[in-house]
Amino acid sequence: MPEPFPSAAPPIVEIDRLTRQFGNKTAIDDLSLTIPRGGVFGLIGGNGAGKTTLLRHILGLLKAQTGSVRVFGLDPVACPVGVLGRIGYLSEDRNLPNWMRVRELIRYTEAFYPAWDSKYAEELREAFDLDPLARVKNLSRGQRARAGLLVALAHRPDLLVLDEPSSGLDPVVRRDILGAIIRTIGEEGRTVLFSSHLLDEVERVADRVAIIHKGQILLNAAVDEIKESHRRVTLRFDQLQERPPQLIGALTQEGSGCEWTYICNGESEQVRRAAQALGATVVYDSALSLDEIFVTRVSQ
Amino acid sequence: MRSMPHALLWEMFAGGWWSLTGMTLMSCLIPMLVHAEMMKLQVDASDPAMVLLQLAFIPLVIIQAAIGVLIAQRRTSRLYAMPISTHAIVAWHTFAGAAVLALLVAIVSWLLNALFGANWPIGSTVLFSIAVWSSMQLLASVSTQQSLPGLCFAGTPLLLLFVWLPSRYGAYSPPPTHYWSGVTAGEFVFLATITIFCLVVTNYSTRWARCGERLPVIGLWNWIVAKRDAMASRVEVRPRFSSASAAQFWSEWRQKGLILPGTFFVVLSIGFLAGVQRWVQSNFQLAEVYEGVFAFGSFQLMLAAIAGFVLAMDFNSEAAGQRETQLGDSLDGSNYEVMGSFQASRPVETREFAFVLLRVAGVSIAITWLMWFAAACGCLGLMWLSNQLPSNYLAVKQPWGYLAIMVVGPWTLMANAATLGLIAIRHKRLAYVAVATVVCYLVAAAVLHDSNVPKPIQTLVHSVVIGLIALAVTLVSVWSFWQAYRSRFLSLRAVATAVLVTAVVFAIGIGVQPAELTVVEFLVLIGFAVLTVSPVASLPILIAANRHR
Amino acid sequence: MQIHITANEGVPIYLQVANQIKYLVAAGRMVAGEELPPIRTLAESLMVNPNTIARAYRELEMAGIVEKRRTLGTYVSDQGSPLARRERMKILSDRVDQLLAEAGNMDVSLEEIQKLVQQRYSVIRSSRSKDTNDA
Repeated sequence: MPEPFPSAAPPIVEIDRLTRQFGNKTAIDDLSLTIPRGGVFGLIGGNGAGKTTLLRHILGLLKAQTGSVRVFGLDPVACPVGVLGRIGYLSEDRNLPNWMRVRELIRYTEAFYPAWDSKYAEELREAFDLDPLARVKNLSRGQRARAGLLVALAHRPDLLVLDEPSSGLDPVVRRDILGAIIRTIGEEGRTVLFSSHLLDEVERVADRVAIIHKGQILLNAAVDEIKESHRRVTLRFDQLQERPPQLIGALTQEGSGCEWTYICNGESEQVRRAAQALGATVVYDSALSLDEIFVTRVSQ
Repeated sequence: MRSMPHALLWEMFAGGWWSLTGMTLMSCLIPMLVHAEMMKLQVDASDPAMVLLQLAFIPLVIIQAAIGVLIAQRRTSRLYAMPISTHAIVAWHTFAGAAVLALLVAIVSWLLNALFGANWPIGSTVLFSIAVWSSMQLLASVSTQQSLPGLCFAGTPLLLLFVWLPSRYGAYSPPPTHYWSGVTAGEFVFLATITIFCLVVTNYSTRWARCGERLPVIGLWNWIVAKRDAMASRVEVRPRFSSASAAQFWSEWRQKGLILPGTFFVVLSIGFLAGVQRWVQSNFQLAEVYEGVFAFGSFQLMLAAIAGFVLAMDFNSEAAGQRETQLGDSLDGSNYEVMGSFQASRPVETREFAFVLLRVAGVSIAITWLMWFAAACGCLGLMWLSNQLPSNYLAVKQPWGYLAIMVVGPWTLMANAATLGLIAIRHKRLAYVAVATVVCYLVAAAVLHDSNVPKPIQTLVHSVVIGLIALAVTLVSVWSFWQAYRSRFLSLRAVATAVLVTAVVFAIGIGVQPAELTVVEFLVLIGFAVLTVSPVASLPILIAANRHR
Repeated sequence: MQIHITANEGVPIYLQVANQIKYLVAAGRMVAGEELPPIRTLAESLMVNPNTIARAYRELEMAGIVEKRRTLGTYVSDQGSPLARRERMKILSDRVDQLLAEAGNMDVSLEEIQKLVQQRYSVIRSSRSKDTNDA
């Protein structure tokens, strides 16, 4: 399988042994992560897993307590202009200046980005059906997200960071957001980093995902790889089994008597061989959705 | 917690005891400072000046304590979805709050009486505070509708109360002559009427707000605003900003720039009216108007300090912060960000943010000062026309010192208030602790004053404390300049300029006060001179700390 | 070209795309020489990652179902080629495997299955000819 990422290019984000505490709660726990250039990187995790905290570190809105964060090879806290100027960011709470009108918001944001493309901004505004005279505080939830997306996209950022872009939005706006992600990486060398807990979306658009749980990365791989390496198999044993026999690579097991169902990590062929070694036959073997893989991994 | 009043009271104390104690401490801070000063000057309660002071302090204490209770109670809207009638919500909010406020006001009055021998009438102050509380509840409930005429209407009872208060001191033909010692039946009926009226109107407005309806008058006003907005904005197309900092300046100015000039304009108008009143009384001596306008210039100082606190805030972050904690994905303890994520993620250097804020402060101070200057010149012009030119143009004792303070003072206060505001919003408890420390010091000073410790030793203690504070201010400022230089917020040239400005202010200070300086006075003067420039260094450091938490 | 993706299912998305194109070709709904939509267009209309579509096209190309004509785009290749035929047989044998496995579980013999296949074939053929007669 050809690697979807040009591995020769330097990674866009490098996080090395980052730890972050708020009071006595540990939000990020000795986390290391590298995000390659190009493609879509999905960050998935439950509420309070540390997704937002991690993204805020990448933007430099939080300072690394221990460890280091490098974006485009720079420290985002030390050089905000060098890093933030190449990033488009849509925050989870869609924090925008409420008192501005949409037109003023566009003009205001434009001043900060030398690479701002006015024509593209106008196209987006029309596509999103945003009234230039409307005040940001009067926009509906969906329109607010679109306005935030517009000002995050119109300078054609090298890295687009979206924090829970679709949470609480209707399918039409979600489609706009996914479309923006897809169009963004359609252009060479640009990267999208987004966090979500809507896993079907992640499965659709992400090249690579990392599962974050309790401030740590549980799994970091290409989506296809993850899907191929996780299977649900049901084994039939000749004798009644009191407790499930240990299957190599098994993450969870349930069942009773002669039939036991495992969710395990490994290729179909490997699992078959492991089952044979236990003296069992595989009666059912299927792939898992990202949802199921996530739940399995996190509930371990 | 079986009953709703139980739950509400518990909520108020459990969730808001910091704001209750903090705001109460804050409210007695200024009266205590002044009373301590008066005590040093051997002025006692029989002096007419003390009557005037009490008249000024009673609203101050009550309003600050009431704000503390309002914060502790939180918005009524949190109860809208609960199975409680609107009457019950309003009644319990008002009664529980009134009880707590009455208690706080009684404590503050008692403290002032006990420590400084002030003659605060506890009974009438408490009754007055209950009426004020009820009218503030009305104001708070209407303020959710965010409309100017609604606020004007809802503010009327409060205004009425504060206009009525001086009459209890015999104060319409100045100066006030006596204390408000006992409550008559008529006064009681007046206060009770206002309280009940406010309660009833609050009930109506809450009922409207609960089902998302708007007050009729507000709907009309909003319609007018919408029409005017639409017409204006179709014409106006904003040109491109020349740079990021120009855009940032526009944004900050639109939000905060007119606060100081606007409030000062109102104050100056009151000063002008007071002057006109005295002009009528004094057989049309224009000098009275001129003096009124001139003396009211000192309000610039107080207003600048308040505007400075506001300057430090990012108005878009509060709501965002609340939402964030609701989502539970943020473990960040503070639900009140100083800088929202939109603002913080703009690609600008932090020093630009700081300099934009300082520019906003500078421009609004300049406008305010010019407004004052123009008013004074206008009066002088009228006097010249009517051949009544005064012998002393500058109607204060030390005119040049006064003018110098009016130029440097607002700047120093506003910029440093912004600095303090940045610290206080981020570390609320630190702010409360700081205020509490000052109050404790004042209480200790009062106790010391009444003790047998000889006067020279008392003076020595106070001088040492003040000298140490001035020294600390100087050292912290020097340290922040060093930090700012190291973090490349300031260039070497900027630091050198700051040193030069400090020296100039110091020299002017010596020039204005040519007498022999004691060591403490010397330190205080240096501290003051340093404070005029220290925000240039401390502001970027603090903004960076808030931006990259 | 009609393709329907269901995310959140066991089958990887690139396989869903590739399989559905295979069936479209096998069913004659896409004919030799017909152009496939460009990767980015298809990605945007299906709301999936362009790399996924690219991978599906690569799979199809390796299976000989489509061919890339430099810079021009991707086209359905000539169905007569032995590679394509082999691919079709492979799809069918996958299906037959599944059928046989099910039959084994339900205790149905091979003869019964062969009979069933014959029976269904004649039913489908008769209904089809009826359809064409009606038309």
